[in-house]
Amino acid sequence: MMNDGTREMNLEEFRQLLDAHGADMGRWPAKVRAPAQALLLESEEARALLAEARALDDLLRASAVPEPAEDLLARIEAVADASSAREAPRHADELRGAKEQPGHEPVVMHPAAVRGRHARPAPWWMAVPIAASLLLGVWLGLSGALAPVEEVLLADAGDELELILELAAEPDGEEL
Amino acid sequence: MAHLTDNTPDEELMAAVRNGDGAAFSVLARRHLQRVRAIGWRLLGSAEAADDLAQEVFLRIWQKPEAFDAARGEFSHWLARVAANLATDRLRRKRPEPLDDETSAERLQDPAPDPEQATMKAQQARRVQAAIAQLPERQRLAITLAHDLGHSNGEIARILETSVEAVESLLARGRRKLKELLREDVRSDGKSVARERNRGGRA
Repeated sequence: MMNDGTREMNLEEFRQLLDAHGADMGRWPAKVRAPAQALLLESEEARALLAEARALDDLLRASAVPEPAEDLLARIEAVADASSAREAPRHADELRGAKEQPGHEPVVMHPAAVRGRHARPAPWWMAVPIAASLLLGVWLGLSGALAPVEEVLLADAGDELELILELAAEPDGEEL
Repeated sequence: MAHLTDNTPDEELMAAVRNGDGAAFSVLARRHLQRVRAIGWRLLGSAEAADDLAQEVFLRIWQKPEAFDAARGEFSHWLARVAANLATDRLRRKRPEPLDDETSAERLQDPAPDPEQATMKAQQARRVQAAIAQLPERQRLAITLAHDLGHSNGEIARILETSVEAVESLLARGRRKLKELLREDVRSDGKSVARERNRGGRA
C-alpha cells in the first residue's frame, strides 16, 4: 500500500494497462494513474515499456490516412447537387429496417423488388410451369441422375468455405 | 436551414439533410470525410478503397438520412459504425488490396522538402499499414478507432456495440501484435528506428 492509500502497481499490471489504453496516461482510468506514476519513478523497466508504447503511438500517428483523391469531395457533393432526383418520402418498412442495421441495409431497392411489393397476385395458370419444374426435380433426385447435392454446393461455395475457415481460425472469433 | 456553419452540430445538420438540404450534407461530408476514409484505409488497405468506401457511406447517408436516430447516440459514433459495417462487408467479399499499391504510396508521400526523408516516411508508413493488415478485423478496427479517430475505449465500445472490457482486450492484443511485427521500428528503448535514420540522413 502506498502512502496516499492507493495500492502499489507491479510491472505486469503496468504492461497490461499500456496495452489496453496506450501510452497516453490521460486515457487511463483515473484510479490507476497515481500508482502508475509511482512505479515509473522507481522502475527503469516501466520507463522502457512506456517509451516503447510511445514509439508505437508515434508510428501509428506517422502512418495516418493519406490524402483523398482530389475530386472525392466534389464527387460526394455532386450527389447532393442532384437532390431533385432524390426519392421522398420512403417506405416506412425500409426505414425501420435501416435503423436496426446501419451499414447493412440495401439503400436503393432493385426496381423488381419494389414492383414485387406492390404487384397484384399472379394468375393461377402461371403456377403450372413451376409445378412441372418441381416434379422434374423430385424425379431427378430420386433417380440418382445428378451428383450428390453436398458436392454441388461445396463446389460452388469453395471460396466462401475458404473464407469461413479463415475467419474461424482467427483468435477473436467475434462478429461486428 | 438558415445559418450553417462549421460549428453546427452534426445532429442539426442531419435533421436538415432529412429535409433534402444539400448544403448541410456538404458540411457533414467535409467534416467527416477523413474519419470515414481512415476506417477504409486501415480495413481495406488502399487509398482508392478508402475513397470508394467514403463515397458509398455518404451516398447512403444522403439517400437514407432517416437511418440515423439521434436518440440512440452521437452521429459520429453511428457514422463510424456504418463505415465499419460497410468496410467489413467489402472485406468479406474481397480480400484486402495489395499494399504495394503505387497510388497509395504516392499519396503517402509527405510534402517535406527533403525527398529522402519523405521516401523513408512513406516506407515506414507502409510497414505500419502492412502490420495492421495482419491483425484480425476487430482488432484492426479497434486500433483505428482509438489511434486514428481518437475515440476513448468507452466510445469504441458503443460504436462496436460491445463491452469496454472487450474493447480493452481487442486493443491489448492488437498493440502487442503490432509491437511484435514492428519490432524493427519500435525498439525497447522507445526510439523509432526510422526517426534515428532520418536524423542520420540529415547529419
